[in-house]
Amino acid sequence: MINVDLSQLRFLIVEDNTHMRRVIRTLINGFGAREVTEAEDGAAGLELFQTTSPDIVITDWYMPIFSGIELTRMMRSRESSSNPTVPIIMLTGHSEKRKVIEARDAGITEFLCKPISAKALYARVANCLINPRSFVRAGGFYGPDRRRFSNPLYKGAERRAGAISDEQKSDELKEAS
Amino acid sequence: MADYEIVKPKVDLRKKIKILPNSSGMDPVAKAEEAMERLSINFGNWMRDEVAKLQYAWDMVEKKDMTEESLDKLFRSAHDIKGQAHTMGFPLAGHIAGSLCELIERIPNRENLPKDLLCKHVQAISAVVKENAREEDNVIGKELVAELGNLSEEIISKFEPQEDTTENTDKK
Repeated sequence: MINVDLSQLRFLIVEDNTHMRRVIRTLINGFGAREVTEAEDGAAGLELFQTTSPDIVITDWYMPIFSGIELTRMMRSRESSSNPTVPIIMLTGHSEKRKVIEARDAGITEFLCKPISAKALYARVANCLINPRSFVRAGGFYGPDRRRFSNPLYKGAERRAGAISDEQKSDELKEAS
Repeated sequence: MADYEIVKPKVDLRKKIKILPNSSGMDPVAKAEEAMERLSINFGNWMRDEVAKLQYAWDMVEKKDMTEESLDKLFRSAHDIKGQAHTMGFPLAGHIAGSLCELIERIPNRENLPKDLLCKHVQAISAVVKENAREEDNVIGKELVAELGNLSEEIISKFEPQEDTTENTDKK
């Protein structure tokens, strides 16, 4: 695993359970991060997000006031968010496929199922930093590119509505110049 | 024109980090695990706190009956235990809490929720923590998990909607 110095990064933990917050903070501090702020619900999390400009957000899913999914949508809002491309790690007890897809479609960057381990959390944090993904705005979606890998063998239709081919792009560029 | 847009992240975090050479002797995962080891002296007490919250939520169900509010509190508490019991060294309690969550989540019609089986789950979680049954291969604990899991699955299969209407339930 690649070792990264995280000492210059700011983390925000949004988790309603006191004990779990303490566990996550201990791990993050153990990784070498110094600046860690905590919120115990989605509303407080959003406020801290706007005021402290964290570099990485770690949020639970199921919380009072509003959930981690709602919080993610607010942090991804291009109109009102202070950093709509912030990496968001969703930490949750839900492992069902439909939940993972729901979280991904809300715009999370990484998904981590509890029980939490130092190795798994570090891998998610490091991936956000070392392999940052481009963001995509398409239809109602705004978040990290959901295609982590391009498949050269894919022969189906382009699923992004209105997507244009490379040839068309090239033609458009020529016209523009 | 394409109706999608590719956007580069606002902040390039690679500029704020340093990749450390292996020779640095720094192992962030090992450091974090050591810190967790130090923290673990609290885990027994923390689990007892969680069980007290679960018991309180159950008392509310008994007192107010199975209202959305009281079941939500019970679900929330069980969900917390499901998520953290393994980390805190009580995996069996986590499995039982998971089964309790399944019951509440997958039987949307509250009238069909088996109150006695919910109660047995709460009692079992309390017993596991009280008896400090930490090992996953604890014989009695394992049997308890299997028995409650089987009973729950039986009831869920009877009352869970056949269509995927779980998408419409509010529990997360």
